[in-house]
Amino acid sequence: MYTRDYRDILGGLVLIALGGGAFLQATLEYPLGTLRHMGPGMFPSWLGAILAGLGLLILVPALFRPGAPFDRFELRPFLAVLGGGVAFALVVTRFGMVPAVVVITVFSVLADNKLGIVAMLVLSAVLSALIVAIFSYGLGVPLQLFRWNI
Amino acid sequence: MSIFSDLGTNLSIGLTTALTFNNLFYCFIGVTLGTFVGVLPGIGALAAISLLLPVTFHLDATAAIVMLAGVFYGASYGGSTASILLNLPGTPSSAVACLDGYPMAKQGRAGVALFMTAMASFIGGSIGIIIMMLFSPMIVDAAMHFGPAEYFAMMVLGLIAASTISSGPPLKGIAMVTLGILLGMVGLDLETGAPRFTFDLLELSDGVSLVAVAMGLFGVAEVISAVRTIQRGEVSSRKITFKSMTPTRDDVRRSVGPILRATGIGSFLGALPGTGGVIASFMSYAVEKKISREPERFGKGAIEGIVAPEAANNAADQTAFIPTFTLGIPGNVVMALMLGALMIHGIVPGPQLVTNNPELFWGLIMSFWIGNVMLLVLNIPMIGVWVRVLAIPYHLLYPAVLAFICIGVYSINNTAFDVMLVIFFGMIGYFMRMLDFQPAPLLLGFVLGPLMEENLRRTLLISRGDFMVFLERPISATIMVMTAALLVWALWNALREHRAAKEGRLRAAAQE
Repeated sequence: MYTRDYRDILGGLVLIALGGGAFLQATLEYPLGTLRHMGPGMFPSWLGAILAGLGLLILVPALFRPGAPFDRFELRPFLAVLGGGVAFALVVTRFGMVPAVVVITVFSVLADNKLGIVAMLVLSAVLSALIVAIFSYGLGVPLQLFRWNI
Repeated sequence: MSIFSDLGTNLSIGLTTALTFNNLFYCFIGVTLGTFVGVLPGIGALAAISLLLPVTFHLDATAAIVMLAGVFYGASYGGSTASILLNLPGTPSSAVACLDGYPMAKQGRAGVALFMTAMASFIGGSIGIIIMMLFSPMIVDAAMHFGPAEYFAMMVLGLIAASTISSGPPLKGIAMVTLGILLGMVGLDLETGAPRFTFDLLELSDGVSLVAVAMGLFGVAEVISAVRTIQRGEVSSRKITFKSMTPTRDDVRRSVGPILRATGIGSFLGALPGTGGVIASFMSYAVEKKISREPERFGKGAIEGIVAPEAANNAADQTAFIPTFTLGIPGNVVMALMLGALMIHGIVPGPQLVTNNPELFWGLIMSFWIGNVMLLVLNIPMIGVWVRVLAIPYHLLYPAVLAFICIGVYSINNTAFDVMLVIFFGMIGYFMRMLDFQPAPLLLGFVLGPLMEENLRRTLLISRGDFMVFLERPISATIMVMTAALLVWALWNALREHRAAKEGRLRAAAQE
């Protein structure tokens, strides 16, 4: 137990920052209009103010109550999964769909590392075949399976 | 009565639509996939529907909705299988079925439990569909008189209800709804064409795509937190024979009342905003335990304890479609995804949907019947398949989920930007989870945000900028009062919990 509820303190601060940012952006950059003819800035500026207010309501009580410690941050799955997505995005436009599926499979297997290399390769082959079957043949989506576009 | 002669015409329109080969096929795919994800703990209907959203871009609107709906109610059927055999709920709404389902399995009555839950699901679902068929046209008639003020009021009520009644602290829920509405503002303003919150990114001028938000929050973030924490139980009974599924006369006699009562509870709660399958299943279990002459049997394998929650959540699943399709107001996050899928196809949700696209609306309802019959077949004679599905390890499953997410979102526009956006929302979703913020209200706000702004603008244009219009019109005034009452109730509850926690701490401190 912590002496303060840091989870809600952090959450409240983030909401205040987001809401405040949206409020400033909407009021300063976009025309507000009148109530009768609301401009593009009016509704977002209200929302920003409400969000910041809610953030404050979440933050203040959290300063005065003990809180549970944070859950364990799953760093390895976090990096493997997000990294896999980014790698997919980079590979798919350059080399096509099949290599991209292999890349995402390899990255995601790294998240918990329960599969050996052979199983990993088999899984990526099966997934590639499945995805080609569903998207290219089943749905008729024109996806390039392989390409060379560096 | 014209309602009944209309009903006849509508039914034939619906049947003609639902019985085309294409729609039958996607109904089958939907319910099978729904049972599959329902059976598997760790992947629920929400994740599966998010995953399928890109696929719907390549289908016509009716087939897309028929399939997504099938996943939704199919998952409720499958959910109880894992509850009974593994003591792990496959879906949140089947959590209650663990209480008596798992003891039944341990007593060697798994077959009976599976058979009776499938029957209860079917009866609950069927009555839910009948209620939807009878009430939808009436609501549509009433809604024809609604103006933008009423719509705005209903959306506010729906969002507040969804964010305060569902689990989690109400303040955080409301904050997530607000954030979701703000996220919905990203892109060109519909009325003036001014870009808002686009950060000079051309890709954002059409707004943030619903697919990216849903997949990121419910797919990617889910996988990150589940990879190392998901638990696997032992399947208690591998072989389910037909003989072991036959209920005794006593089982049937005990089940009839609970199924009917639970269907009533489920149908009612399903149609309301903010409540739904989960609450309905818990409530019907509590009711049965309370009115039972032998409440001590509950928790030790009472058949009433599994049929009631299953009938309730399936009835709720069907009636949840009523407000979504007749008013265009989704009561829960799955319904928001359905609306999103409709909007992807350029169909505006609301009472016009039923009158302008009767083949979609009635076709969908008729597909519910067909889907429920398919589910009965899938869940009784073919139960053995699903028992084996339970054994699929998560470490083979989640790479497939991730690959499908990436390919799916890429297939919409063939741009890497969309994939990056999913990854971004996956990251946000994981951070939200760490800080105990629920993603569901955010998505609801995101879907309804643009509609809210549009209706608010129209209301104020008509009233010349006078806010009192919301209280002057009787229907919107009633809804606004209900919203206010709900807010007061939520705050009161939060305050009471806060005080109780404080007193608890003081007492603990005094004892030291």
